Amino acid sequence: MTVRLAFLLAALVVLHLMANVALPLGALAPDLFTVTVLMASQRLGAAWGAALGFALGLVEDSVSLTSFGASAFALAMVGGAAGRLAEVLKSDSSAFRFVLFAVGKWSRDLLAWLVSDAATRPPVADALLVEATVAALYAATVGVAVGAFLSPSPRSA
Amino acid sequence: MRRQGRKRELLVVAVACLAALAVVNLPPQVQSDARHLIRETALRPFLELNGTIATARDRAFGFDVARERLDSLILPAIAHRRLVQENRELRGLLALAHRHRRRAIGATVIRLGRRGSESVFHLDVGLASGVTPFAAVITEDGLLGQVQEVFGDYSVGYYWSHPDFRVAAMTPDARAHGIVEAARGTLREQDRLVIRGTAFLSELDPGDELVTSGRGGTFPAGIRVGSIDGPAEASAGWSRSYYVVPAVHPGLVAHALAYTESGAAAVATGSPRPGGEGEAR
Repeated sequence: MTVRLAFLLAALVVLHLMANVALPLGALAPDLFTVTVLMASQRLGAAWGAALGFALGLVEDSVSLTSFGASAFALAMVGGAAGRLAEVLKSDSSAFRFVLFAVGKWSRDLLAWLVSDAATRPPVADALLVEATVAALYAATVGVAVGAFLSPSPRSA
Repeated sequence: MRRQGRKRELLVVAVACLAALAVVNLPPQVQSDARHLIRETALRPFLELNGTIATARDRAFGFDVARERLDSLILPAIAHRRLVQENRELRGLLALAHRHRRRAIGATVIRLGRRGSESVFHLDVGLASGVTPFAAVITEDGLLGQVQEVFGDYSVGYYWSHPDFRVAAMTPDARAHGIVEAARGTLREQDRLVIRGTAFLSELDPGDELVTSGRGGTFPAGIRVGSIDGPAEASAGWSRSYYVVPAVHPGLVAHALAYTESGAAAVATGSPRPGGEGEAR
């Protein structure tokens, strides 16, 4: 892991917490935790992605009152799968990153919805078809922009 | 060598996913303790910053509003003193015991904007200030929500918009009773309340006020919940449901009052039945 990558990942985590907990900006804030996990898994591998996803997911879950562990499960799964996918496809183009971030974010929302408390989760149409899709495109745009700060992934070479 | 590295990677992924699934299925008390630990460590600086910003904003823009509210309370307070004296004398003549008076404490409401926890708030008061689980949280406009978890110097609760929120409500003249719960709007743009189970023959009109009835003992009687918006559904001959415009809009609230003794606790300990009167400090 390079110093630049470590700094960027840490900055994304702090920015996410500032935007969602300290300020809080609501839907205006992109899901930078998912961007962090996907970036880590693409650059460092599936193990890093899953471990970081588990840790950040627990932090995310701690601010709500129900479904503790749902985000941890979703981010760990997405981190693991994205790392493996990046290794198999060995691509680092902007288009690949956009698709990876968009599909990763949408899958994260789907997995979190599946393991959430059925009594308190929002209806599937609202949560997954509209909100998650818009959030996925937003996170992908931000992810591609952030990724431009980094040199090409060593795992794609 | 490479295959071994891949195996190790898969093992870490599997362990992380299984650990997360185990966390989902932990007992509620253990989950609550784990959440508390994370809030007190990783999230503490961010939650404190949120509280500081909310307080500063309230102080910067709230002075004129506070002065206006204070002025509007002077005349009712003078009239209230006289009523209290009369009430005391009448109760004395009827040999009735003194009314149970509830206390409430002012708190800064720390709102969280994360998707999935929009209905959750933190209060900067906790066990040390006498707040108990299930205590009602109110503003000058009416009912805001309910405390769920209480820790040393903070507590966590949910707004009326949370899917688990329920409160027994009635019209001020006790003509109609029912249970009020959140009715989520499509894409959350139109969250409101709905009162269910009102008697079919006691029809309510748009604009009719609803207050807490005190039934169940959790919420004190007389707190404003909202006003009737229109009919939601009816089961012929049995009951009606109505949409309710909430009295309080959570997004605008930075300061609230939390009751320091929940009705549930009062019922459990056999304290006198609450009468709905309150005293803020």
